Amino acid sequence: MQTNKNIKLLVGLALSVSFMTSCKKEKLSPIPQTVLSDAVAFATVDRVSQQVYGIYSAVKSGNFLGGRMLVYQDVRGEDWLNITGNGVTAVGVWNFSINSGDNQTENTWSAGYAAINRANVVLEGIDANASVLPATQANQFRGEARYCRALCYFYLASLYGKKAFTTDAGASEGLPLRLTASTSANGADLKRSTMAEVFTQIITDLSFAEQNLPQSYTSGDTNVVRAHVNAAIALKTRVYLQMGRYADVITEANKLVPAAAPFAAASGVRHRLAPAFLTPFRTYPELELIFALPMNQSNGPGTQNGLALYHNAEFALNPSGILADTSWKAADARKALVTATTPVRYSKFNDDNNNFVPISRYAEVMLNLAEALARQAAGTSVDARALSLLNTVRQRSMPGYTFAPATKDALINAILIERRIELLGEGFRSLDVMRLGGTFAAKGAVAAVPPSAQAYVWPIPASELLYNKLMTQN
Amino acid sequence: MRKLACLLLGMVCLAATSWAQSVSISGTVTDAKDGSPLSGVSVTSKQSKAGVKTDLKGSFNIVVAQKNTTLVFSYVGFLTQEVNVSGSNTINIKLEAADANLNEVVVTAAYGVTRKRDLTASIASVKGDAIKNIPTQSFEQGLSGKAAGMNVIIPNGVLNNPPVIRIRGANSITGSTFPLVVIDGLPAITGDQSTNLAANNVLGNLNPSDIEDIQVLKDAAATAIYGSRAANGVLLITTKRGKSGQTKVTYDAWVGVTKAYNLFEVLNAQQYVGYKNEAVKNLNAVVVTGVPAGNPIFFLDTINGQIVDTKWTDELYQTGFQQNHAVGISGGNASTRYYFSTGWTKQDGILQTNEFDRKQIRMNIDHKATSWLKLGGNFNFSRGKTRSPNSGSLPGTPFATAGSARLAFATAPNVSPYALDGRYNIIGIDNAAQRNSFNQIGRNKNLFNSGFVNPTLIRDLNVITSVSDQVLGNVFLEVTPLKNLVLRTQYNTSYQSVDDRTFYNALHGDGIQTTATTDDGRAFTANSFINRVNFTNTINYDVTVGSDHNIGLLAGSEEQKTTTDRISASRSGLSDNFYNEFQGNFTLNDNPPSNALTENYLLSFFGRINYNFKNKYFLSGNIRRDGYSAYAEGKKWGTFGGASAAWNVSDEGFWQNGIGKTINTFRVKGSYGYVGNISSVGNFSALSTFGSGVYGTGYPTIFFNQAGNKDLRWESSRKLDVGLELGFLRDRISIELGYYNSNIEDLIIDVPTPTSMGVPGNTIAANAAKMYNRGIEFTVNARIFSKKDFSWNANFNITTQKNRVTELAPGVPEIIGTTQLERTNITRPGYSIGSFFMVRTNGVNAETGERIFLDGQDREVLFDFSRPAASRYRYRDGTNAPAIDLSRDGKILGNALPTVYGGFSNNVAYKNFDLVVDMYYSFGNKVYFGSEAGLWDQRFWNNSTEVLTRWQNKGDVTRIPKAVFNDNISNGSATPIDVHLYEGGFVKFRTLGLGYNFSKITLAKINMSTLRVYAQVLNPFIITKYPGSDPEISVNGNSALTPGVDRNTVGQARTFTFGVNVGF
Repeated sequence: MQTNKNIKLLVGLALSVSFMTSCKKEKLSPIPQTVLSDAVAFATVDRVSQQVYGIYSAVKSGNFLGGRMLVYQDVRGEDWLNITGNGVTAVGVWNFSINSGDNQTENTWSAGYAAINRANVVLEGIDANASVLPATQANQFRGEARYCRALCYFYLASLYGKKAFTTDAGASEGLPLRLTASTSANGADLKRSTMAEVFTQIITDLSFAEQNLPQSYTSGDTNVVRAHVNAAIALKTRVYLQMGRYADVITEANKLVPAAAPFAAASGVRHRLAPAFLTPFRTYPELELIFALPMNQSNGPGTQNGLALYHNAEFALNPSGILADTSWKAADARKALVTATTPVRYSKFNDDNNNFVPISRYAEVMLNLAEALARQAAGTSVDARALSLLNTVRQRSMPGYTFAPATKDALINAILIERRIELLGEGFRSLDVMRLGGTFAAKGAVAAVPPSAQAYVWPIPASELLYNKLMTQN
Repeated sequence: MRKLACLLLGMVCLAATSWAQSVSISGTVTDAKDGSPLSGVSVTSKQSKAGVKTDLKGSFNIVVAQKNTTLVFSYVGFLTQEVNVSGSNTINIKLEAADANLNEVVVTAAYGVTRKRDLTASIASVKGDAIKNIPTQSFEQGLSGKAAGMNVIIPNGVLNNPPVIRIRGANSITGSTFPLVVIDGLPAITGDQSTNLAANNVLGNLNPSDIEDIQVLKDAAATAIYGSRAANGVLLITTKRGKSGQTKVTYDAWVGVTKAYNLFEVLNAQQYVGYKNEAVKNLNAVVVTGVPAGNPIFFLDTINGQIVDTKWTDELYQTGFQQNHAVGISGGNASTRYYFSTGWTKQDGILQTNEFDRKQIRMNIDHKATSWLKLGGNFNFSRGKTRSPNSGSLPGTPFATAGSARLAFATAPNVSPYALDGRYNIIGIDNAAQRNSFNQIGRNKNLFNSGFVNPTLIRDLNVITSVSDQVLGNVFLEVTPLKNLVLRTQYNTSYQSVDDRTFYNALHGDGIQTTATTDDGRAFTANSFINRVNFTNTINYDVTVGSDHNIGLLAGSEEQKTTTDRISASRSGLSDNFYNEFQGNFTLNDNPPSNALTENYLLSFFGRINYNFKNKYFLSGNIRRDGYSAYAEGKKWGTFGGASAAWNVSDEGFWQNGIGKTINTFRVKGSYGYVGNISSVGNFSALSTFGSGVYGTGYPTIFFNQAGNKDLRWESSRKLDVGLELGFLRDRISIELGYYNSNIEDLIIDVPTPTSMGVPGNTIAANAAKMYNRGIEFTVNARIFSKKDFSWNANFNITTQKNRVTELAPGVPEIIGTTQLERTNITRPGYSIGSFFMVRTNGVNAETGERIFLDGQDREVLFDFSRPAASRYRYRDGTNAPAIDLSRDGKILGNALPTVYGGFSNNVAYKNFDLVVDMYYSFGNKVYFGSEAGLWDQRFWNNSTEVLTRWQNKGDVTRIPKAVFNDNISNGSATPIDVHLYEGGFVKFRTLGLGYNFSKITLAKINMSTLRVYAQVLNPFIITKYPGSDPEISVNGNSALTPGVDRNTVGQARTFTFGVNVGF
């Protein structure tokens, strides 16, 4: 009887004790095992370096420069026909019917700004962890961040700015210019800066980058997939061209392109034209590539985002577009990439999971310079250096072909045509049409879109208008 | 001293017995229903308080003080009987089961049991028998219409897809609105745990035949003891346990066939060709290079002399065969009781290759080691395998290009599954580059591709499975050191592994990488280990002070840790079409698609006090303090609680002597409480974090991937409940009436940030929103007839529900609800959550066949796709209008949650026959029939036969605009329009079953105790105006932000079964 009672008490006591001691309060603050907290994310040089790669990987998003942004820039133009009618693969971009709520409108904007915020987070992270990095190292990372930020603003402004910069010298509304890290809900409302303010910021960022980036990196394809001095300069030539500031294009391009052939960069990475046209699209690293976004099987642009998909499945070359231009001869190496079948495919890009996406190529800098020189020439004169640059680009793909324009305008026209051939599928057509105030030509069943049309620029995404009370629609 | 007291007491007892005339009375107690002996029945003398229990054979022998005494027979689950035994020495008693008696029903309350008549809370009860014969994959699919206040929606006919359950409305915005499910004390993991397209509802691992009963806890008085997990209500599941007595063996089985109903009627090949060419003509533009504008591009083809006229539903749907077997063995003696069961079910769905196969074993043991020590445990192992095609019917998938539901109606009928040579009909079957760049079904004679993939090929070659192995187990120890003091410790564990496998063939469909032919053919695998450990300790103390004050005290603690650990892998570049398993030969290893490693921890202390005075006046209060790991530092703890009161008016003398003859039960009750919700918060939502990845080849990345919130805290609701219970004619008719009002605040929503901020995901979780649910519940249980050969029991319940969102985050006017690609719903203060948001239309212009849209300012905008882009939209005056834009021109057009719902069940018995007629209904909501937008789409898609009534000539009055090829706007395919929004009210016959019970006498000869055979139909009829397959649908699962969307989803199944219930 007594034993029984003792056991009862013992068991009861044991239960009571377990009841009292089952609290393990430290378990209430588990540390996630697969992500880093903000307190330690910039704690070492390696981590900061990885943070910088993180910016590039956002720039590389398939919704942005890793794919769709370049596709959109192209298919707004007249050189492509939509084949599939698929609403999620740019038919609305192609036929100028996208509205503020479309995925294209929303996702492009959001991917671009996601990359910008990563750059801003890293810039603030570097400032806040000054003791981690030597000053020059810190500035190099800052330079890379600012190069990326400039690149993003440039492309976003080209689609979402209320008017092309050249229309009114940037007086129109541009983008909300976010230059600080957004890590909380603070600062949601921000009004649009003017296009001029946006472009000024882009140039400021690129100039900082030019001054602080390394001349080159040490190994592998780093010279292609990370920004260096020449990458900042190359982008500047494009930005100034877009602004119509031809003298500045010449100043910048001269840093990369010598006065006479052979054309190759004299400092930094020794960029030059690859001997064969297709090389920069198949072989890496390649000196013609000034900056490109790397792809591989496990690090591609994602489903329905890659250039090759659009060029070979969703879209086809318009037989009445640049394909119909008589100066683009059958013997041209670039034409060999055009299929003979209908619909006409284009295999400059053929494997989205392996083709790097070129952002700046030496050929483009040459053509930027050629155009600026041609336009700056006095009177109606044909600029000899411009012509030489043009012929060099053409002759790489079609040896023996020589342009002989009679007038300045004929030269400019030839350069513009050459851009459409040389840079076809790399996202330049809409930029070129808009900076020159041109009309998007009719194609298939799609009518022409003049600069006065609402669809000439993209609508501001609905989500931005909804949650940023200072935002205005285009 | 103590010994002295004992001695004295003993002497008194001796003295007492020596004075009285003692009488021995014996007899047996049996179950009035089937005559089986009842053991453990308590037999007490009302006068002397002496008591015994019946033995295994139901026999008892009691010695009472005098001949003229009243014996009280009471037994859990049965009506208590009082019998005057004056003058007799033997008496045989038949006890009636208490099922129909409101007052005696014993319910499993949280952390204990209680009599229903003592409840102050709002609880509904569903017996396991009511659902075990319903041919479903999981028990909760059988709960439709079974309880007031509980709305169950079967989302579609995809096997093992979890139902949507909302108890008293949607109680969360971004989180799950699914109730907490507690299985034998273990708060279970719920939801679809598969990572691929084969749905895998965890609750499908539980065999419905094992369930004894289900309690639906609705108000704060009932749920608050579950504190932070209670906002969505609680389903308390009790599995069967053995009863002492003879071993009972049951065998329940059914076989059946299942079939889709109300499939859409689409154009045949002839109609398709005629209609599409008319559309091409109306477009009057070059569609195919080389074919002049307006010329036909679609043609009939013949294969083997037959016109190609494919009924794609035949390629994708089927009549599925299903069978289910469950064996239960139970029994025990005074000290040990056991229940053992095993079950197997194999069910084919309405879609080809959709299969569910579950094998399961359960063992429940209770053992009374000594008078003060009880112990026991449950063990359940289950393996459930689901195989499914890409049904396009799960959340996030309705626009999948290979989704079965859409392929079945949108694939052109004049193309064939196979080419002339018998191989699959796909573009470029012999040319990998071409095959890949199109990845489309062959076009036969058409000059324009039919766009979609070949459904037959992907049906045959792709394999998607999810296998769940789950062990649910618990052990408990219960000590009674002092009378009425019970200490209980229970350790629960749920260990589940979910093995998801996906194989996409290298020829066609989802396995195609479009541009790189070497990468074709893909396989994914994901292995999730979902582990939950729950440790609960309670102390219960019941005491009666004086004779009238009954007090029950509970204190307890609970801790629960849940971890999810998932590793996954992906391969591509199938080397040979021979392989269709992940382990086959692939040339490339890809990124793991869905690794995960996460955990959460909940620590709680709780207490409850129940008090009643003379069993007439009841007061109850409970409190719980929960700490949950997911909330921000300093915000982790929350205190919840509820209080309730009840008054059994009918126990008052004035009542019993007056109206009590008619209204024998009259009870009022009310409760108020404060409960929380943890389902809305991600495990690490409060933290700002940096994720990692790779840039190109060999460059590791770190990047900002979550903006945390240092103020993230509990979601909470204040729930008020007032109820009235009435019983008429000795509870032959019982009525429950209740009012509920739940005010929910601090709702966690992912507060959108302007996209230009670049915040990852463009949202930050914050406690920002407020909402309420209000309504009335009414239940009637009636034994309408209860004659010897004819009885009719009916249950009718009705619930009204008013949901209003009252506040979203500052600066957030609304939240858009997206059905994968399409914005369909909106959540805006002042409206019901997830209301429909669409563009209004005003019919079709009879003059021109143009679609008439109404823009945001009520102006008519006429649309004709055949005009140049700039002038497609025009005002009535002919001037160009801007394109219709949902954000600008959309309006809120109705609520998606029903305002009234309920059920009506009938059980009729005539002699040996029984008839079950169960129905449920739902009204007051709209359903978006998005599939209809697809069925009218003017691209290469096939259309519903309704397009034959399209506008053709001036003056035609019709719903369908002029056919213009490639037009996806006038029909609502690009932007949702009001045309496809319909009233979603329905009355549905859920089960219709006829059974025959063989008589005891016959069965006794073959040593059987019960044998019932039955035939049953699930979903036999539906009464509705809704034109789609079924208005009971939800392609977005239980997302509160996007309810009521019927977009490219398969409908429901009608299942005919034939079954037996056998007992030995």
